[in-house]
Amino acid sequence: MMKKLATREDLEKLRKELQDRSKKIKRWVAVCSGPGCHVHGSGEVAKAFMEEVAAQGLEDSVRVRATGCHGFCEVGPVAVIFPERYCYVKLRVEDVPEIVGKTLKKGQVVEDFLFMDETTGKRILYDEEIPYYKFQQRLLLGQHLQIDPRDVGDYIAAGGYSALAKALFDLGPEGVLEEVKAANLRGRGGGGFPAGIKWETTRNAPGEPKYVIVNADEGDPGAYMDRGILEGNPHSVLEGLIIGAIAIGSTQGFVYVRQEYPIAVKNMQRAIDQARELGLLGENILGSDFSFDVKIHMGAGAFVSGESSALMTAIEGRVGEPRPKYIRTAVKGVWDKPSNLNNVETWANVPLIINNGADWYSGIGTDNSKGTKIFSLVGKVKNTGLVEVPMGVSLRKIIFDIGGGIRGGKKFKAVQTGGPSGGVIPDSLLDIPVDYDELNRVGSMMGSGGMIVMDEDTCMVDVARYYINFLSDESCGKCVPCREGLRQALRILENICAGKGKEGDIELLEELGSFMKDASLCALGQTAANPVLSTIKYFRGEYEAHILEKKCPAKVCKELISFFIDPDKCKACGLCFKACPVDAITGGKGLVHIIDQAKCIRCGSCFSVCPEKFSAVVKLSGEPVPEVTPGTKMKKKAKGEKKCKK
Amino acid sequence: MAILYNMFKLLIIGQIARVGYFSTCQAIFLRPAGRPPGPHLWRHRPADIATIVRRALPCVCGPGERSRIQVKEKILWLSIAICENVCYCQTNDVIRYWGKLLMIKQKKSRTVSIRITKEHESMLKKLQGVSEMSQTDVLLKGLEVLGGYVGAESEKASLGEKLKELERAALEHAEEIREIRKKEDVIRELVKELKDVDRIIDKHQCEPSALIQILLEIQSEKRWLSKPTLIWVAERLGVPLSRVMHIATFYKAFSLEPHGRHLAQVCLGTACHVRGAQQLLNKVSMALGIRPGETDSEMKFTLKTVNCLGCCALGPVVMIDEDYYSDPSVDELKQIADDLE
Repeated sequence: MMKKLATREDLEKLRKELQDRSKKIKRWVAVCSGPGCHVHGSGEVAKAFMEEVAAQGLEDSVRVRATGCHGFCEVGPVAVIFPERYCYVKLRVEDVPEIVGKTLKKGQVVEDFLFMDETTGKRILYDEEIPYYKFQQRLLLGQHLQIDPRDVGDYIAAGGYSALAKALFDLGPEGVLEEVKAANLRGRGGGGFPAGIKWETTRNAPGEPKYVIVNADEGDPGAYMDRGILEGNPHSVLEGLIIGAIAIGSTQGFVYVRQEYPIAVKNMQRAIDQARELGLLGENILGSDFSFDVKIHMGAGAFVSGESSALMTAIEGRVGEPRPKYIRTAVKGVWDKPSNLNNVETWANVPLIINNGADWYSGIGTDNSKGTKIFSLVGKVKNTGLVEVPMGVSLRKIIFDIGGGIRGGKKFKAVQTGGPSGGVIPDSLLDIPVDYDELNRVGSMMGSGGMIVMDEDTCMVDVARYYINFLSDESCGKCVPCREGLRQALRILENICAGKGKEGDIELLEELGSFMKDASLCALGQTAANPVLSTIKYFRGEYEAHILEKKCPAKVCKELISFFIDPDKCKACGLCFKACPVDAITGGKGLVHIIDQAKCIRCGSCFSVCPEKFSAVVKLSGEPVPEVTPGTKMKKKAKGEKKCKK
Repeated sequence: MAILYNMFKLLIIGQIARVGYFSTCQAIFLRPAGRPPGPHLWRHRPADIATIVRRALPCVCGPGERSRIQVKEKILWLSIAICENVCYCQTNDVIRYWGKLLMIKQKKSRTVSIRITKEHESMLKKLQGVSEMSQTDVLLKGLEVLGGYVGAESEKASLGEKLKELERAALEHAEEIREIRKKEDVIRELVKELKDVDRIIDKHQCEPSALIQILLEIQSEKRWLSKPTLIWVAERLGVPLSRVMHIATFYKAFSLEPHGRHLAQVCLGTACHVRGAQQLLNKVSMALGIRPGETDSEMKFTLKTVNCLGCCALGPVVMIDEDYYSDPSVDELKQIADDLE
């Protein structure tokens, strides 16, 4: 139970106390408990750390923090040891006693757990020297390492809520607004609308009360930045929200989180409760005359509810469907009152701006896009995880320097940004700087920050079909262009993928797309054609191969491929024979296995079980399957190998 | 006293039908004619019940069949219900779990039914009044007399016919009561369910704006939204049912059919899609034996697809209850499924 903070001095006193207390701690370890590491078992690792520290009697000098996402999900569970910043990766519970005994107790490094750079073959000592982190500027994600998201004390000790005090007592509403406007903070949810201008609109709009809302309905498939922040540092979002409320003159805030993120909901709720207990929320915050409170509202699983007007109707307790926005939600939002909606990441940036000033902030990034942006770098890239870079960094740098290039030595094909509203960006445009305007120019968009990397094994028509399928499923059905346009586009794309495409289909898709763009009610429909239009723009050849040659160059579309066992490579091991769910494979001891094409359902089981050293199962597309006579003997092994036989 | 016994003898002779069960009898259930069904319980001491049962046996079975029925040691309570002039002996199982009734019936267990007319009832009351005996004792005495009567094999032919007739009437009656009980059970279940719903609604101060939150909580607690629940929520919040239905069908999180005890969600987000989410879905489907959107017959698993779980770095991912698994094999999945209750 913490005492209520009645004045600004109380807050500073508490901060001082907490910092003094932490000075006694010689070392601490930050075990990542983000979603990625969690799957790899970081929960057990963190527990093991705590038990081991207690067992070795180090409780007074060592602290174990289960923190939010560090970003490098690929090598999880990750633990960083402070103050040295030694970074250990891929930890298992068994490794913990050694680390506690050596590193935490004596400061010695255990080489085996350090990150190994594959290109140089050297182990890297510090987290910030790992290439994945080296090229990043982790203003937001970096805070996660210092903070246990369940402990408000950690946040305050790290300087938390000082921006709130500054906004309340030094800047005042106008000052905050000026600062945010001068910093040119743009909405991180995708649209990129300047937050300061939006705040001002709400502030000046007639009607009371005014509302401020955090949009954490992160529906874009392939994006999880908001989840990372909400789970890792909920107080930063809350502080940003309170500061926004001061500037706008709001008394009630909402956090709209999707129910698929139960930990985020839990951590946010805890943060709100703690803030309320400390008097950072509620009546007369820190002794000022400003009062404000926050409520959590859970989304129930609808992509379109992330749209501003839809989200606000959902908060009112009605179905989250968009409405025409002749009057913007900033003027008439929740219950027709002025409501300001910003994304999680936008709010989390606010305390940084207030603390460090607009000049500092606008020094980062490009002319029109300031600050840093978190991307979720996923797909076929080697190093997956959350990446925070200053605006204006090139895609190449993100994918190849930070992401380490494509997995399995494959060739890069395209990167998809902006979720279902965005588009694909091909190889030739990899050097464009990543900011709002550049991405829009090449037919994609910033979106909330999903960055899905695709290699040569990804079929672009299939990707377009995937997105249109997703969107037609998620379209609320209120306006005809979106509902029917998506349905028709999906039908055409499914035909193309099934080898039933006709000449003229591509043009038809383009026409449909431009029509939807002009006539749809909300952003979902207006941008729904982007995945199709951008894949057509950059990969028209692939569409044509599907339609004219009935061939899928990436060998993905089921109806256009066949599986074939190369008789020269087959070693008659029988693995595929066992794996086939429909008994389409025949063969025997010493006989080449053969797939019956009439029975084959193209599930790919044989392809995935065939040992890599044989690689006898191959995919064919657009060419006839060669005939193999049943009963063909498999090729004899080379002489040297014979000895291995029993 | 002798007069009283004789009166009782006349009263009950030929009025015993063989219908039901003698397994574990529990409470005595009394309902006077014309009163609505309800728990008018009349309990007996275990020892008394054993005696009642033992003494009732000869008249229930007839002398030849006596040996075929054994009184089980476990009898704690005998249940006799007088409903619409028919007096039933029943087991506690029947009263508590309606579903077991059929099972017991199939096992050919037995119960005692005594038909009592209005005339008899008043006589019974008179008997009680005069003798100042408890009802148990009256019944015991009566049964004792009756046992002796049947044991002497007098008037057996006419007794058989009457017994058959009474048996039919008693069966009909049992059926009626069964229906009533069934309805009572349904209502009891419903009341319990709606009480839980009420608790959730009250937690949100009956705010119509909290409708989605309320439904989400009900969904997570009950694993589905039943029709009465939806109607009740609409009623309590003062929101049109159409709007409640609109929400319940619009959002993916809600289900209008009961879910299994465990939920498997396969992520079909883009990151998972390009890394083979479809193959993973096939594997999960194979391991659980159900297709997406289905629930298995044992109500153990429901398989669903979701658009993004937010674990994109590890795709393809399946979430089973609270745990995430990154691209597990069919065998691993089967193991996970077996480990769950």
